[in-house]
Amino acid sequence: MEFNELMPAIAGMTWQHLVMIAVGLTLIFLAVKKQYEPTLLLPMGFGAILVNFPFSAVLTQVQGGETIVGALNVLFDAGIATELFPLLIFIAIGAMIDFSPLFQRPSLLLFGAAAQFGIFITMILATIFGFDLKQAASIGIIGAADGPTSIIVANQFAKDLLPAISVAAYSYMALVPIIQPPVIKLLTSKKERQMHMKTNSNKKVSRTTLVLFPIVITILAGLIAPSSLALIGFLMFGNLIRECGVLNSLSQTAQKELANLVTILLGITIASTMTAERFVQLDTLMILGLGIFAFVFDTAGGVLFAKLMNKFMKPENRINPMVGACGISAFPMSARVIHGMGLKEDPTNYLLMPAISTNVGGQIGSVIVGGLLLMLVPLFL
Amino acid sequence: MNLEFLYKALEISGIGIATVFIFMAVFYFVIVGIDKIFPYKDEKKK
Repeated sequence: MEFNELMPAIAGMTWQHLVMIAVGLTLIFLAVKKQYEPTLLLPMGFGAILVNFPFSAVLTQVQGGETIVGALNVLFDAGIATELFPLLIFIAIGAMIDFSPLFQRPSLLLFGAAAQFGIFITMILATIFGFDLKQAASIGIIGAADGPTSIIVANQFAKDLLPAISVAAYSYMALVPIIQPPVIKLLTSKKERQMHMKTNSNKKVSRTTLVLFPIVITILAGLIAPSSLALIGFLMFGNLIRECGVLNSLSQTAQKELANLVTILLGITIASTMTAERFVQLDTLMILGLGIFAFVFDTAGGVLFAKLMNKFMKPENRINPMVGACGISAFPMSARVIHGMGLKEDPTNYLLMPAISTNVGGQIGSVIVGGLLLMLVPLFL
Repeated sequence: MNLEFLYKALEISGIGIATVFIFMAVFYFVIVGIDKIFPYKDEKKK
């Protein structure tokens, strides 16, 4: 008996497999030691190790003419190819989000649009780097700072790029405290960063309003852009369960058990695509580079839009430009970062409430942009 | 670089940015409208 028959995994191991095992270990290190998005990076890291052994039983293999279906392929076909897992995550996210901060200052919702700027700039840049339109849109959506939206868009437009896009989306979401502050500092003066904001934090919102909000938004989204309905509809369904007041048990289940169960499966299932053949490519490096670019320009878009709005506002209503950066979807991390930056500049400057309001707007904005890209790109092909 | 893709990406970006602002403006009016029709104090009175 020959060595490659006795030890097929060792005999078939290439340097690309070893690189991917190192990537998996790095993701686990980042999750455990640095606590960067551990709920997703850890399953993804472990999954990356699992799928990078030649003839790994977790992936479908053909042995002696017989196809042996791998468990991760079954999960991928059931949960990612059908978009079921990311949509279930949206139900959980919807059940977790309290939209009432938006009612305190609804104009902050506009930053949920301005801070999606990086998505489109990155899409343009990706076409310059040679990616086709569908691939470029999938790369741009990394800037949504919204993992499930990135997965859905990439799954429809560029399945081959899904592993790199997922890794970039979730890694950069975890790196918001590192990516955003230097961009904000570059675009604002110390005086602007010290700006206090008038808040309306005592404003209370009626239950009827909170129940009607997800229903009306879903109807409007369905009328204006039906392609966004899967994304926004599941998000709003989760929120309706939370706010209706008669499904507390379901709301708790969605926020905890559903979120945890799907997250475990989502991470490890995405990893099924992180095989050496698909991941160790120049494209992956380019996607990782473009992804960070998207985050930087999203942040810049939000900050610059705040500065623009301030030119037309009464001095007492002006917005601290740092708050504009919270228009991305990384919730509530971005709001916390901005609040921390505000306190650093001036210990009496509490920006948490407007930052949270803007961040909630970013959640809605990112989902809308995902739906828009799904609708617009096929129209241009 | 494929110029056709670049021009299309520019066009999609223009439409996309405008549409997402329209969406948010509509949502803004929805929030203001619902909040005005169903204010918190009304609920308290009931």
